[in-house]
Amino acid sequence: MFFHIFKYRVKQLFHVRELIFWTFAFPILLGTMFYFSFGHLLNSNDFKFKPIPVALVSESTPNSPFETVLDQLGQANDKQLFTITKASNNEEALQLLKDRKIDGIIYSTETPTVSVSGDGLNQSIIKSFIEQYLQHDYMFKQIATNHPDKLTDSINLMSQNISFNKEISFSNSKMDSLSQYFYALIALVCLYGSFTGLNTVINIQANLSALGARREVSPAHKLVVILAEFCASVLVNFMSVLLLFFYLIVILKIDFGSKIVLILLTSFAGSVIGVSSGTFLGSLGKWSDKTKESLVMAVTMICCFLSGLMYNGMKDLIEHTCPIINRINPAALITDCLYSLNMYDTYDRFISDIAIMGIMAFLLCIGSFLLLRRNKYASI
Amino acid sequence: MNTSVVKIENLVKRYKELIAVDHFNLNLEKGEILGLLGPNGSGKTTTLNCLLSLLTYDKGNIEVFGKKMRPDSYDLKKDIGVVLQNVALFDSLTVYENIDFFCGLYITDKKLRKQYVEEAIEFVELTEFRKFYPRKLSGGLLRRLNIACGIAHKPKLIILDEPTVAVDPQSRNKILEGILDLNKKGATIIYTSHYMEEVEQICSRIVIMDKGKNLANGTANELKMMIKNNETIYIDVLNLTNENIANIKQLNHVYSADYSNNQLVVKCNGGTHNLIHVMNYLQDNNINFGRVHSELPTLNDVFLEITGKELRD
Repeated sequence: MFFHIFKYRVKQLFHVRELIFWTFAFPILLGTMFYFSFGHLLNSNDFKFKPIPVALVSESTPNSPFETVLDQLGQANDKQLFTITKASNNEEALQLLKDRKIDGIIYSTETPTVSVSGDGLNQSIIKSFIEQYLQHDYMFKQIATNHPDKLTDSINLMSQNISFNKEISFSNSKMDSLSQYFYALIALVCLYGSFTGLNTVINIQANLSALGARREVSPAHKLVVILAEFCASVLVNFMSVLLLFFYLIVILKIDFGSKIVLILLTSFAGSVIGVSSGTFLGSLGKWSDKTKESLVMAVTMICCFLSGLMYNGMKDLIEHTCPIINRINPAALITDCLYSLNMYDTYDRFISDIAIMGIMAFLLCIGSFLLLRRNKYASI
Repeated sequence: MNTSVVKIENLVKRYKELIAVDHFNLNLEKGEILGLLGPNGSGKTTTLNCLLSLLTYDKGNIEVFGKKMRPDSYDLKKDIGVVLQNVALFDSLTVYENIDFFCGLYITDKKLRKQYVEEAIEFVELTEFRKFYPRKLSGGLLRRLNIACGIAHKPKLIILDEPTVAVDPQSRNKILEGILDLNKKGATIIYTSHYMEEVEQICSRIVIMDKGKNLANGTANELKMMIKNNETIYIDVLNLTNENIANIKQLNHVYSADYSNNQLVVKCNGGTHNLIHVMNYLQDNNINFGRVHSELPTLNDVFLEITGKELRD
């Protein structure tokens, strides 16, 4: 009986067009959209710095030390910072700026100044360079005035480029904040299982459908029916997650780290919790099937929103304001599992997340069965 | 030996203030086709849902095959086939798959189930549609498929709740013939409808139901004998006088004679050859008449006399 119901449930699910679209096709479309929206930012290693085009306007008495520094920075080598165009006068430089051929104008005066258009990265670099030059210039003049014997040591020290910060990574992995969107997408697909879970309940409850009435009068034991349908729903949902993974990893080349088996385990647990949550929500109350569909939709989308599907920083915001939500939100648990697998070398956080998901799924399943056991209805 | 298949005693079902089933009694013997006849809202479907343990009820006792019926009476359920009023099929499975699925809930042996499914498809004449999906079928074919799903496992008790609603005449005849055939093969059947013609055609015994009550119970002839009117005669006559009408009323077994719009309507309670007697009178009195026809009472007449209203709205 179990395999008979299981087999036909799998067949049914693969013939429901809406299910095929929303569970299999839509996540791939959404993942593709994410990729084309954020994908180039994920490949930050390909970023190459281009020298900033500037114009140099020299006064009648140019600042020779400053122009020497500029010439050094304008030389064509690995450390080239600027591409310098020498303007004969201010009007020529302004015209170049207006025509967007340069990002800023540097005035070689006693106190160098800069004129930029806009607020971009290049403009910030130009302004930062001028500020740093002026700071160092003042500092060296002060040392030369007050401690001339230390001037040589000071110049040597400044040349060494000592950093007072050291970057220490938590793990050997590299991670960027935009991967969170893909984790949330996987969580969404897992939670789409709630719709098949709900559909199961509708098809076995006499007060929700004629099919349910027909099945309730059959000699098939309710526990067997629920289990068989549940397993079939989990299988189909897990297959949709696998397909999404295949697409993201093989086609879009999104990096999820190397712990593939544990990632698959997370996805399976996510599918279980998705289907069981739909089954539980469908078992609640005496509402119509349409009301229950709306409830499942609302709960799924809220969970996904709170896990960062629509706004990257949402999960972090919740963690700081109401962390308990992240501990019980299935979508947040799934994304956290994927994040911890990618970020950390230890498994403590992953194991605790999986354990919470397992307990939640178990309780939801038990709750569903206890509610669905009620075999007689006040009205149909 | 107890041959009672279904016994319903004193069944009461309320929906808040509305009493849907009001101290209803029913006894179904093995081999019968019992018709449950009543207008919309009379409590037929509610009674069946209580019988099948789908609905809670406030009072009463329900036994099937001599045992109390409960939701977990799986031993009883395996011998019951149900065809509910609403079509209950999977849109995403073919005709064959639908029948196989439901049959599989009753028959676990694969080989036997395959045989039963093929027989069911043949029985409802859906062989050429076996690979079709339900959305491709007409209303009549859907109803046939609905029936096949309910009877494929060859149950001993079959419950059909208005199986011919919105069905074309050809399919309806097929369905009714099929039900008679099932009965011949040994099934006991409960058939509910508000179409008296169907019930009269196939049912060996009829229960008339209204407002949740069992109003009358018997064969079609027994029920018709319960009412005063045994025959109604219609004759087109020109120029009939009051004296003629009074004389016709004096004829044997005539209890009512009305004349309007050039039509004489005579109602008789019992007797045979009433039509001949009335026509002899007209001929003897040189009264010309035209079209003549006689009607025997229908179940609608029975219902009308018992409740004061028509069977159909």
